[in-house]
Amino acid sequence: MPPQAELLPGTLDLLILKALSLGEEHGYGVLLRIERITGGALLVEQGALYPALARLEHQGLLHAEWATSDNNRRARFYALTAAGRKRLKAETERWELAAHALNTALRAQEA
Amino acid sequence: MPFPRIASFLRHALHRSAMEHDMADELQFHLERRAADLVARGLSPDAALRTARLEFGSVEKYKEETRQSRGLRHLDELQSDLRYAWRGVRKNKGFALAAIATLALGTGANTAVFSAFDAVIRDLPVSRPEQLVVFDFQRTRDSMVSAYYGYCRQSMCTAFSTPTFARFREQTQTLSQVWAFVPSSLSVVANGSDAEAVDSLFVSGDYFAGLGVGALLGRTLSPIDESPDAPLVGVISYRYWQRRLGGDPLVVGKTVSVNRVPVVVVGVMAADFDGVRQNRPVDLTLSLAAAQTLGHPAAGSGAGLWWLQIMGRLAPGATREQTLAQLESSFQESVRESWAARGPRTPNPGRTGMPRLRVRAGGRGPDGELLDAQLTLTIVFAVVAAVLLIGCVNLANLLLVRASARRHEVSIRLTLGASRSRVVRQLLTESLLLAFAGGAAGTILAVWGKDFTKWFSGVEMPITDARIDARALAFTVALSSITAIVFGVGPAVRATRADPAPSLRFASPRAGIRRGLTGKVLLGVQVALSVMLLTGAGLLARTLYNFSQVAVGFDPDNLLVFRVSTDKQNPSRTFDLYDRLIGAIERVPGVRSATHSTVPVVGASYDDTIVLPAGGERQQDVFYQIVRWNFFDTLRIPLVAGRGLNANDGSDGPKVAVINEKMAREVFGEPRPVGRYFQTVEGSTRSTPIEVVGIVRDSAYQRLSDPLPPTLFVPHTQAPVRGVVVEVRTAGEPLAIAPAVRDAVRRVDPELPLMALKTERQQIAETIGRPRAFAALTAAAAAVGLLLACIGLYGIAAYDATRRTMEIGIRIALGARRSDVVRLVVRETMIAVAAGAAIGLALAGAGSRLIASVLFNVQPGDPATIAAALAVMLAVAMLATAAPARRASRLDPTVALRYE
Repeated sequence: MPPQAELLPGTLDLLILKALSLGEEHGYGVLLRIERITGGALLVEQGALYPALARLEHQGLLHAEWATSDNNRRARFYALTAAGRKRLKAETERWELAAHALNTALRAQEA
Repeated sequence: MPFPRIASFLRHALHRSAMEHDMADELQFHLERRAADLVARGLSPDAALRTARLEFGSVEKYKEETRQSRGLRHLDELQSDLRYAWRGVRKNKGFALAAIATLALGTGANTAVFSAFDAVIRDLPVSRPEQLVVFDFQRTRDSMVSAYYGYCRQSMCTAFSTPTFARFREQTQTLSQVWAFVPSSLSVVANGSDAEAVDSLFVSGDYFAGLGVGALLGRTLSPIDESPDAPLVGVISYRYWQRRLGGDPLVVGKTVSVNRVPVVVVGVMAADFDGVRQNRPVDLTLSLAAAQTLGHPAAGSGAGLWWLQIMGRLAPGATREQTLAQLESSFQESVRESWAARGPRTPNPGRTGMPRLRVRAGGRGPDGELLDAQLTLTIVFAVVAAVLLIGCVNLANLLLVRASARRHEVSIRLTLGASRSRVVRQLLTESLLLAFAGGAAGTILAVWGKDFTKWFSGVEMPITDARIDARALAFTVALSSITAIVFGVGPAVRATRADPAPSLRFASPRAGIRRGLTGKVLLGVQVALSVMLLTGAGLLARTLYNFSQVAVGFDPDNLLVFRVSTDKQNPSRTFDLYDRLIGAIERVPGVRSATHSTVPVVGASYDDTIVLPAGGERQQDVFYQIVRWNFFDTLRIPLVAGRGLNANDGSDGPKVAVINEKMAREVFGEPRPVGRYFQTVEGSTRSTPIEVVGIVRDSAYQRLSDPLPPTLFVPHTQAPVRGVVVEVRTAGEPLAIAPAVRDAVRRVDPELPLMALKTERQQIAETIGRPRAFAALTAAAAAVGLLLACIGLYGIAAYDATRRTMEIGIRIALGARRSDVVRLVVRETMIAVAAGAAIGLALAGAGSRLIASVLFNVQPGDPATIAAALAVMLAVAMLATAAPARRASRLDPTVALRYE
């Protein structure tokens, strides 16, 4: 198992949006997808996923629908809405800007 | 993006159980999939499920977070708050009832009064009411205007001469329209109904166009109808159309009989417009040109008589000042012209004064009489405002007591981890629940009581239907709710800020004392207002008693009275008519005798004349009645000397009169001047000498409050009579035979309108309608105030006793007697009561002056009444505090010391 890091506050929403931008998925699928796309480096508290999904749906960023899953069970599938896509783009830019700034700052050396 | 959130919130809030179900399913699916994956990695199914659960964490916790994500937590909390509040209300029924009743009375009564106020002062329902103007003028005794037929008093006249109107209409450049009108009561027979007196208005051609009011059906009146040869047409009100004509859609073109003349209905007015006179809705509007044909007494008179009311609409950009400046000179010209055309009998012919024209804003209609209604409403308003204030204070007091009783509870909840905002929100919910219940009850009360002005029979009051004013309701409900919130939540907020620990150890004595003080100040205010209301009620009760003790000088029981108006054109026909009328009524079984007079005995009008005794110098004004011969027998006014009138006193016989004892003394200076002569004086002319043939005992004339006045009675055959009041002496209950009397009148003449049919007792009661209504209102208000004060007193005393349980226990343990404890508890509240009563005395003095004009035989500051009010207040205060004090004195010291 690779070393795992705690999620930074606020990043769970961004990860969910990113995961769902790759295609619609049910809750457990989102969890697996996050694990895969982060290479298992980020630890997501499983239960915390659902309040986050509900929050994003409440904000109109996700659309949820009951459908049949690959093993023929009823599951709730989430998909990004147009607003969700826009938000993901905006958040990604913001994140990159902040990460870049932080990286630069942390590498800074006394002149 | 608020919309998706609201939609999501509503979707989930409305389909709550489906959402809960879905949520459980979703989490179950997650756990099963996770377990399946773990089984794939080699765990046993049991271990896999257990691990999946462990990894997931608390299902319930995340469910709750999910609900919160959807904004549903507030809803859940609100629900539990409401449930808790409801439980609190049910547990404390007395408190809740008192608070809700207080709120209901405060909001309901005040909304009703506000709405009635608004009915008086609201703008006419016409287009651009702010452009309307109404003309009047101020006059003095010296003004050169003597003959008028209309509203003309308090140095303000709203009546103008015909030429004045013509001049205004011709010369104005600032008014786009000018119109004149004159009210009248006409006898109308519609659809074969009984003849009925209908409030009507004669209007000039521009009346409807100027007001900008259209017809619902047919047409309104226009200048075409003003031409002398135009057919007689009228416009009826929506109300009359519904009431008398059953809303007949084909009414336009039908004919009604007005004062025996056929008039064609050409239109029905819009439902919300019933004339320019807000306190007197008009059912029939006719052209001014028809006034003479229909027998209006002032119609067709020349320049000398002032009888028309005038209004106008300002042209765009024009002002009232410009209008006045432009029309002043033509007004003065009219005054001089009318003075030159004055009758030969005009009193005080040396006048030179010029009345002053005024142009007032006319958006609310022309009526000067509204001033009287406003005074009435001001008094009503003051009384109800006092009740509202008492109510709010009472509510505040109740809430304060309750809040301090709950400090303990609040502390426990804070200690158990409830957030401060959560506790405050809980208390807020309770206050709002009370405010809402009270507001709802108050609205019902307001709707029920909105027509309270109708209870004031015989008082100058707007008789239009009041509409509940939404703003007034909002205002009073808001005021009461704010009280509920401020005093319900305020102390709690303060309590939550304090460290809960000391409050749990013992009910923080300092805070208690401070809270007790606020309560006592509030109590003082209540007592003061109650004393004021009690004084008012007492003064009015004494007024009513004094009225009931007035000796009227005739027998007012078993007497039926009504008015009939007859043609003025044909006196010989009228004599005959009266004879047939009285004959027909006297044949009705149960009628002892019937008579008539020109003025109702103790009623709304009077007539007077100036007399000069033969050989005397001094002229004197006396009240005047023109009566049928059997008047004294029917009214049972005893004859003290000479003879009464009889059938031989005909129109061609010698002129005779009967006078009362007061007139005998005041005019002739002797008790029995039978056989002496006098003349009546009108201006510079004197009548032929009239012989006094009899003296009768004094009797009341117009008002009960006046001393029995000097009165002159002459036979109706020897004086001009137009319209009479018929008095019928019955064997039994007068109203029982009223229908038979009505039938008898109809058989004599079906077009004779019979008006204001009532018993003499009712008529007398109406003349004191104002004090009666005020007495009822203030008595009710005082009772409510007293009851509320009583609740407040009880609450404060009980709270005080509870707060000091431990102290009292110690005192008893140390040997204090019961009476000492009672005194201890009573003393504190009594200080507040005494202070309140002292302020109440001052308030009562000021408040009773407001009703001074209504009082009879009792002074506004009557010491006995005020003393009685104080005594009642103190007695009630004693009673209210006695129960908690006695309970405190019976405390078992061992229990008391263990308290808390």
